[in-house]
Amino acid sequence: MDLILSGFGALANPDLLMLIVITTLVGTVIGVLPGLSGTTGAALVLPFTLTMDPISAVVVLATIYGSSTFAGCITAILINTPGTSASATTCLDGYPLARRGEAGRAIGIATLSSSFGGVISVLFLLFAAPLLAGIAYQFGPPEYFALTIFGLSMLATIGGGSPAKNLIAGAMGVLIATVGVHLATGIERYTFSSDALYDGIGFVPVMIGLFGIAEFLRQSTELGLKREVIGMKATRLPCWADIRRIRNTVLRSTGIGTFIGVLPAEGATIASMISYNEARRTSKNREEFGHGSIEGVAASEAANNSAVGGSLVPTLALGIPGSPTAAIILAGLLAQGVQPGPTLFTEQTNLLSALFAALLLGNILFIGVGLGGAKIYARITQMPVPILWPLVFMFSVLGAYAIRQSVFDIYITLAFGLVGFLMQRYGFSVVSLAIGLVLGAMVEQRLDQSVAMYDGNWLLMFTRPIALAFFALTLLTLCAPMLARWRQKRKATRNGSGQGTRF
Amino acid sequence: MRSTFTLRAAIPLAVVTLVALLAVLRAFSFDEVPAILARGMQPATFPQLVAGLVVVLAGVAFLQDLRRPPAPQTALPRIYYLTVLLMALFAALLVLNLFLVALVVVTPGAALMWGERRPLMLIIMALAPLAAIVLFDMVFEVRFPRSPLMNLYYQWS
Repeated sequence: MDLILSGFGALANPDLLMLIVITTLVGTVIGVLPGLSGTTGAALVLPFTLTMDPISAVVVLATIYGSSTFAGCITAILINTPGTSASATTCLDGYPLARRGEAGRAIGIATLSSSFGGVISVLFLLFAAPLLAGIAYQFGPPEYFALTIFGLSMLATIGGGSPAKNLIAGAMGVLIATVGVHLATGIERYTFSSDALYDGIGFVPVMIGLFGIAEFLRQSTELGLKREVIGMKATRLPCWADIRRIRNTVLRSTGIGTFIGVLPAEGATIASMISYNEARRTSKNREEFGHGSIEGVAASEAANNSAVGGSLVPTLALGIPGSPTAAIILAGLLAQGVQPGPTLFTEQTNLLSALFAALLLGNILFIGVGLGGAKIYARITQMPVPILWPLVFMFSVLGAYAIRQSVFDIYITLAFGLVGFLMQRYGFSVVSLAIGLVLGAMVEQRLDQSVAMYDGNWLLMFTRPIALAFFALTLLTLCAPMLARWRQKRKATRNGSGQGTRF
Repeated sequence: MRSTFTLRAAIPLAVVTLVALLAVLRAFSFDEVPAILARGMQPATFPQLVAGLVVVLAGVAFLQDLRRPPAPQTALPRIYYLTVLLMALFAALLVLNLFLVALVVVTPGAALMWGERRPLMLIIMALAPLAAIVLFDMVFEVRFPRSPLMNLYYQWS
């Protein structure tokens, strides 16, 4: 409690408060533009923070991180193009809601879930950060490998299509992640002697292509269709009944997000996926998932935003960044002469309290930015299609180019736009491919490390209890649809025979 | 009504299988590293494992499609192919290093092709790439490929 009070005391400075408000707005703009992620935003403001005092610098970097992660949901909902990889799962239900004319409701749900997830996770971290850092310390390469495989197994049920096709898309994503130089040995793979492929295929251009360009192409196939007049419904915000309905989902997803965010990995993406799957498994309205479920939007957004706070734990307590953006925050801390480590929690309490208070304040500000702006953002869905989608195409191309300033990335975007369109047409999930690509390098690296750790005897991974538990969960996830079908069949047979005896 | 399985429905899975098999074969041509350097796995092992998994999953998906055939696809409208052609034109202009021209042509071009007829709106659509480029240049410090038009812009700014 003292930590919060002293944090808010540090933020009582009007200049710092103004800085948080401005940074939240800047982070929101960055998150909204496809191709510019929280990582880009943090990298852009990093040079400015060098001239600031440590507290202001950390506050700016943390606020950019939180606000851009939150804002990633806005484009995911409105134009089916996630601003960040962590929002890819939000597309599954957010965009169908927007197409139904309920963009305001979807953004409102996403805002409230993000904000709630963020606030609870920060409050939780205030008390549990050192303890969680200790748990994260128990995770070695086999545990991370098992966790990532568990995350990938969730792809089977994501998107509502055939599990086998979803897994094919995920595996193709992992395969695409192997393009480029193998980091452990320096051997080129699938580069076809092209310099442009030397560093691999960037995630952002692929994602923009799979979502933005593919949707642009899909819109062209629907030009002749008579559109429903959605009118003011698009700007309507969520009601109390909606909030009551997502309450449990948000609580559960916040827990999952905070825990997974603590693990030094691509926390927010895995967290949103696992939470989405869990929400779907436990929901009474399971059939709505993938077609515009507010619980789906809430699960994904609560989890990815709570993972933001979580990912700062290993960054601060162990000096191991929990995500690419956390790595930039770590660089900012080091540049300020702040040495992350367990002693940070006892020696730099001022800095920590300001950081946590800034995250809390930022999360509360999202409610204003999100709910206040939801009606304005939702109007985007009312723009005429021949105006909106060519503009989306233009921003997609610019976003794809901006990240590495490479024209080759635009070709990648266009190619994956076509691939994404065809995938959707033939029942393959583009979300699975995108997530497979994000996690691909990590899976290989962790497997490589595990195999090296056990001198080639990878079976020894199963002797580690945490890893074994994740492998068991993976098996359960993959077998769950078959088990459910078998149970259904048995039930039907029983009912059938029961009816038979009645006659 | 239950749809029947057609060979046409198997084409996407056949393409996936072909790509995965090519990936497996291509991986055989990767250089190998001495065991002392490759402490974990050889560079070809992981892609071969994943591509192999794709082939197996494609087989499973094929069997599933045989049991429950996917709904037949409707033909794509002409405007879709025209949009793809417009994207190809965009790519061609990029090859010629005409980034800004490509954007200025394709953005209003797509709007016009999709039914926008208001001249003022088309002019705004043609000017939108210029505004976006100024935004990306000034705010995000993104440098765009040099071309006669971009050189003019950089001289002006």
